[in-house]
Formats: sequence, C-alpha cells, structure tokens
Amino acid sequence: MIQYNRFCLDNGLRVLIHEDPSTPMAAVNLAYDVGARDESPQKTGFAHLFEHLMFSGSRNVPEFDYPIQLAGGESNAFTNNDYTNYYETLPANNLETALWLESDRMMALNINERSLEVQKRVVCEEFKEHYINQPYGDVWHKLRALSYQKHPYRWPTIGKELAHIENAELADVQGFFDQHYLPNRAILVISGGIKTTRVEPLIRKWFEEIPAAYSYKRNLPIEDPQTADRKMIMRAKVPANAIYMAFQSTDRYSPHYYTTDLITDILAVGESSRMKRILVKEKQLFSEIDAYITGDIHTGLLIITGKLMPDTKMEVAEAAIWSILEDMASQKVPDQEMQKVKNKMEAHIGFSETNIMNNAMNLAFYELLGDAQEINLEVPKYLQIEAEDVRKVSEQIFRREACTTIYYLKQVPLS
Amino acid sequence: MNKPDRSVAPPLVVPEKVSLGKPDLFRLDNGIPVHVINIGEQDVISVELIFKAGKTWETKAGLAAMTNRMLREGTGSYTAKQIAERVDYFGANIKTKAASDNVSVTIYCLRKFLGEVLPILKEVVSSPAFSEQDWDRMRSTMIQRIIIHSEKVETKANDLFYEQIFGAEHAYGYTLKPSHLLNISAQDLKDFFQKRYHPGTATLFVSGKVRQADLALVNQFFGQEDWPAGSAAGERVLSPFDYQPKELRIPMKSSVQSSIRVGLPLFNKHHKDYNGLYLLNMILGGYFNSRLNSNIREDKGYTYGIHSMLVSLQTSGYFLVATEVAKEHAEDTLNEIFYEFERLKNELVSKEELDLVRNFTLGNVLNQINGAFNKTAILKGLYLYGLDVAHFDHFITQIKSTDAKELQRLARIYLNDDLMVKVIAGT
Repeated sequence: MIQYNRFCLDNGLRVLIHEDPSTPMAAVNLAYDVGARDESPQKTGFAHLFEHLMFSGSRNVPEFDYPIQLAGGESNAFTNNDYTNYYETLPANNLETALWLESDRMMALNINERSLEVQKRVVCEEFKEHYINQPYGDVWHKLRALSYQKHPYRWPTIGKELAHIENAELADVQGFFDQHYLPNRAILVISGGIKTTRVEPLIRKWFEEIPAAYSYKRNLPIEDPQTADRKMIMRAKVPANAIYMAFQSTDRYSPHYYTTDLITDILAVGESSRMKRILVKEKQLFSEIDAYITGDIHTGLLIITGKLMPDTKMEVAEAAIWSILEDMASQKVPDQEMQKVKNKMEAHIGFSETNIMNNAMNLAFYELLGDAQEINLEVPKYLQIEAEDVRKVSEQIFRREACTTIYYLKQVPLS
Repeated sequence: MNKPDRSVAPPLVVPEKVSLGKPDLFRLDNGIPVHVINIGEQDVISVELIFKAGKTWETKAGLAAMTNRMLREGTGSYTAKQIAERVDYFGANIKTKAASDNVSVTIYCLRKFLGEVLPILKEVVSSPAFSEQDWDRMRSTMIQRIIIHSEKVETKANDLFYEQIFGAEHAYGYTLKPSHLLNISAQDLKDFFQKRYHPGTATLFVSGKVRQADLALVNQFFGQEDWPAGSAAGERVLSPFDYQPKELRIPMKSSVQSSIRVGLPLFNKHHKDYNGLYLLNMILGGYFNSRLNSNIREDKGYTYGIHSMLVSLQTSGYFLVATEVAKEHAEDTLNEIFYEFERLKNELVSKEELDLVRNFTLGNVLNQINGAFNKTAILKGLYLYGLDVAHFDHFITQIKSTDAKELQRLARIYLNDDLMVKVIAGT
C-alpha cells in the first residue's frame, strides 16, 4: 500500500508526494508523456536522443549533472515507446536542487550544435553496443517491424536505423521540446524522507511560472488484429539457433492486462514454471527460455524467446512451445499453480515497495495511465483472477494466425 | 507570485552523518554468526547463508560455481521439481551465487511464509543429493549457456583481461569453460560440498522486517545439532602468478566496436592506500562527471559509457578501466585514458572538483546504506573481510579528508601506463 498526497498546479503539472520517514534520501521522478510512439516514421529514435540532450544544459544551468552530484545525488533517465522518464536520488535535505534543475530544463533548453553532435555520436555507439555488436542484437528491430504494420510500436526506442539519429537537426530539437516538454504533459513525483507541507511550496516556487501549451494531439493509428501468421528466418554468426515468437496481446487498460501478466508468470517465471521445467529441465530442448509481456499502453506483445540446445531441431522446439501454449488455452490451470503465481506477484510487489525510487516511478506511471490510485489496486486485481480467466485469455492470445515467429539460425561457415 | 531567481542554485547541505549505526549481531546456538538488518515496514524478509566456498577454495576449476548451482537440483528428501514448486508456491525466491571467495544461498519471501520456506532452504544447504543423472543434465545446459555468452566481444575482452591480471589457472583469473565442466564428476561436487558447506564456514544475514519470532525460526533451522558441524575453514592454496604488463589485441573483422580493458592487480580494502585510491578512482572514472566520461563520452562522443573501478577481493584486488568504443576511435581512446592518468599525476585536483567528488561520494554512500537490502550489501563488504563498522567510519573520514596532494601521490604510484595490462578486443 502506497499512501500519497496529490495536487495539480494551474499550468497542469500533476504532483504526487509519498512520504517515507524511514529514509534520509529522496527520490524525484519526472515523467513526460512523450515516447517513441510520438515520432515521425522518418525520424525514429528522436525521443531517446532528445532525452540525452536534456542533460546538456538548460538556460541557467550549463550542465545538468554537476549540481546534482554536488548535492550528493545522482540522476538518470529512460525512454520507452510510451513515455520518457527522468529521475534523481539525493539526500532529502537537498531536494530543492533537483527541483531547480528539473524546472529549469522544463522551462528552456540551451542546446547548441556541438552538444547535439556529441550526443548523436554517443547514441550511435549505444545503438551499436546493444543492437549490432551483440549476437542476436538485431532481432528486436525485425520482430517489431513484423509484429506491427501500422502502429509506431513498429520501431524500437533506439531508432529504426543509425541514419535517423545521424540526420537529426537542431531545428527538430527545438520543435520537439516546444511540443512535448510542458508542465501539462508531465507528472512530478517525490518520495522519501520529506514532508508534503515543506515540499509543496518549493514545487510551486520552481514550477508554477512555467507556461502550459496545448498544441499536440496524439492521434495514432490503431493496429489491426493480426489474422495471418508471419514468419521470418534470420541467419548470422550466432552461437546457437534461437526462436522468437510475438503474439498480439492487450493494451494497458484492458481488463485482461493483469491476466496476461500472470500467464507469462505461469509460463516462465521461476524454476517451477511450465517452460523452464518442461522444456529446459525435463526435455532439455532449450538451454534458456523466457516469456514476458511488453506492457505497452497501446496493444502490446506477449513475447517468447528460447535458445535451442545443439541437438534440438527447430520444428521440435517450436512444436514443444505450442503444446504448452495449447494446454494453457484448453485446460484450466490447477488451483495450486494459480495460488503460486499470485503469491509470487504479492512478494514481488512487496519487495519493490521497499525502494523509494521504485515507488516514485510506479506512482508516476499509474498517474500517466490516468489514475495513481490504481497502484493500490494492483494486488487485489491479481488476486481476483481465476483459472478460467487464464484459460480464456490464453485461448484468445495463443492463436496460430496471430503469431509472429522468427527463427534465428546459426550460420554454418562455407567450407 | 514571486518568480524564483533561477541563476542562483539553492543552498546545499553536505551529508554530515553517514553512519551504519550500531551493529546488530548475535550467534545461533551452534555458534554461526548472524547479522540482523531490520529496516522497513513492508512484510518482506531475506535470509542469506554465506559459505567460504568460492573459487579460491576450489581444488578444480568450476567446482565452486557448479556445486552452488546444483544445490537446488534435488536433496535427500525432495526432488528438484518439488523444491522449485514449494519455493515458488510460497512466492519465495532462492538465489544462489558463486563468487571468487564466497558463495551464497539466499531466500527472499513474504514474512508470513518464512516458517514454510526455511525447511526447504535448510535441505538445500545441508543435504543436496548431487545425483549423476541431475549433474549430467545440468552440465549440458550449462555448457550451452557458456557457449552462448562467450561469443560477445565484451566477454572476450573481460576473459583475456582477468587471465592477464591473475593468471589463466588462478581462481581470480580463469573463466569457466566447457572443458572445466567436463572434468567435474558428481562425486567431485559431493566432496567439495562436504568440505566447504557446513556451520564452520557459514555466516548469516537476515534483512527486511525482522522480528524476534523470525530469528527464532532461523535458530531452529540453522542453529541446532542436526546440522553437523564440519571442520573449520581450512587454508586455501592459490596458484602463484608472475604478473607482466602487456598489450593484447583480439582482431574481429565483423565487430563494429572495440572493447577496451586497461588495468593492473592491486590490493584490497585492508591496504592503507585503499580509501584514498577509492576517491582517486571516483575522479578518474567512478561517476558521470568523472574525467574519463567527461572526456571520452561527453566531449568526444566515442562511447556510450566509460568507467573505472577499484575492486576488492579477499586475497587481492585490481583496478580496471572498461569501455566499448567506436572501432575507429579505439587508439585515440587508449591515448586519452593515459592522458587522464598523466593529468592526475602532473596537476593537483582543484578544490572545486574535489568538493564535487567528495559530496557525490558521501551522498552515494548514504544511498548505498539506505534500506535493508542495500545496507546488507555494505555490511557484507565489511564483515566478510574481517572488518567492522569502525572501518566504515574511517573510510568516511578519509573521503572527507584526503587532499589533492595525497591524490597526486597515489596517482604517481598507481596510475602508470607501463604497469598496465591493455586488452583491445574487436580491432
């Protein structure tokens, strides 16, 4: 259970404060309602590149990290398809430093040609490190492009190609900032050893004067239901054959969202999960296997990935996965197994709540979805799910015609 | 409404009191030391058993990791499947970890289920079966995982680096290979387990929301005579190695980046220069505004990140600079790393920079001791080295007091390009 106070400034900035008197630290989380889904298809990767530029200085601050570190704190950020999230942890006494910095970069950036050039290079190296110079690194670009035909989820946050990042221009940066980096498109959460009565005036002091603007209307295409299976074979010098499967899942508001989360837990979380036990341990078809949902706000994916043992034939591996999925769609999960995944979920949430940064991030995300109060309904929602719900949702999701499959094959060198 | 003056930074307070508080330590009936870290209101708890059974205690490479990995694969009373099902049923999580000096087996669970899961944890650490059949299965899976992960450019760079620092046969220097696993029998695992997993080599850490009743349960399962005492820890024998600085390249045409590793073997936190070097390392490559990151990422854009670290091991330690850089800038990156060494040797660190790094380090440590599970990690870093809270206090004092002259003295001793091993993979 996470208690918090909430208020909204006149400029539309939503503020949530979670007091945790047990710690001398404070966590600050500022979420902006803009992600890779808001990019132009010709300029992908821009939301993430922009996130880097947010650290390159604002009107009154030459460099973002310096004052935060001087205050004994640390900052970082991430971008995903849906939103961009900035966060700091610092000694609670120095909270005002973070408010000064975050409000200054919400107010006005100070980007020059040089910092743009440097961050373009940094992001290109990030792209290479994670998506090119890794075995299987290029599979995610292909899997998204195959799973989505219309929706901007068809490209990954890092960008579709290096050229999109290399071509970014200063004018794009200012335009993006003016359109998206606004108090009315942001959520500020403070959690930790602070008091609302002390913090609220400080937030008003630093953020109240920032003007709102309402030019952007998100209007994204809706992905059609997938009606035919999609297959692709990739070949490269990789250490083992691998299979990647993506099913069209639900959006974040669907009543079935939490059920899909439990489904992947039943499949692949913990040593006793079905896939780890049967496919890795008992049948030894795979050396590693995993299943998870992407958790996107719009229609997301349920992904299954596995690395095959050297003697496993691809058809056998694929059929073995399908047999587990078909079982989920036709047989009710036994009560004991239902109780197991619910207990695991309860423990997972319990451990997560011991961390002030997690609490701040999760509050911001729920508020972004529409209502922070939902955070405290998470556990009851998981606990209410019944075995028949799991079967029905499995039946809906695990359809052959709604599946995208990539075989990633080990290239045998020509002799 | 008065507009704030944005040109002036808000006033700062340097964290004054960075303290671990009083240690909470007691012994079970059989003498096993237990550290209690009782913080937090969430009803979660972890119980961690640490044994002196890491790589440095091995008689054959791979024994430590594989013995640890096999603990959950069946015991006298439960099959692997039953263990997994019972642990998962109570929403618990058993994590096993084999490191260089120690291994650990930890259970994380909701407090209400502690009494249900401790018997399983007890089985796992006291009577694993190590059956031939289970070991055969595990071995082929593990071999395949090793093969998969060894293909990364950065893994190749790391493996070669540690071999050069400590020696390819040394516990700190070797990387697990399929050949090591093929050379281990189920009986080897049993023997290693017998020697190294018992109350005589164990230490416990109990963290989270901890009440007397929880500690009584811990004592009931791990403090009684039904867990045979075993002999004391014994001596470890480490293969000697003649360290030689050198430069090694692994050409890889297909790689679009180079993995750079630069470093040398050093000492651990018992050494008188360690705390000063900790601060020096921060300045060089330990945080975002460090010299290396400012130069090579934020000024030149050669990399997504570069950092340096000072790593303490129970019988040794090392210093390392690591980065993945654009292939065409690998040479220049190496030169810039050495340029930053020279600068620390030739110029005194300014007061401004020293204040920055001191404040950052103190805040960072304050964050590291925040919350039960973070604080546990810090306490392990003391007690497993035979150190205590007084050592931590001394560390904080030295972070506050080490001056620019001292940092320069340390840089002149330790940051010498010709003392380093340099590995560049993917050229």
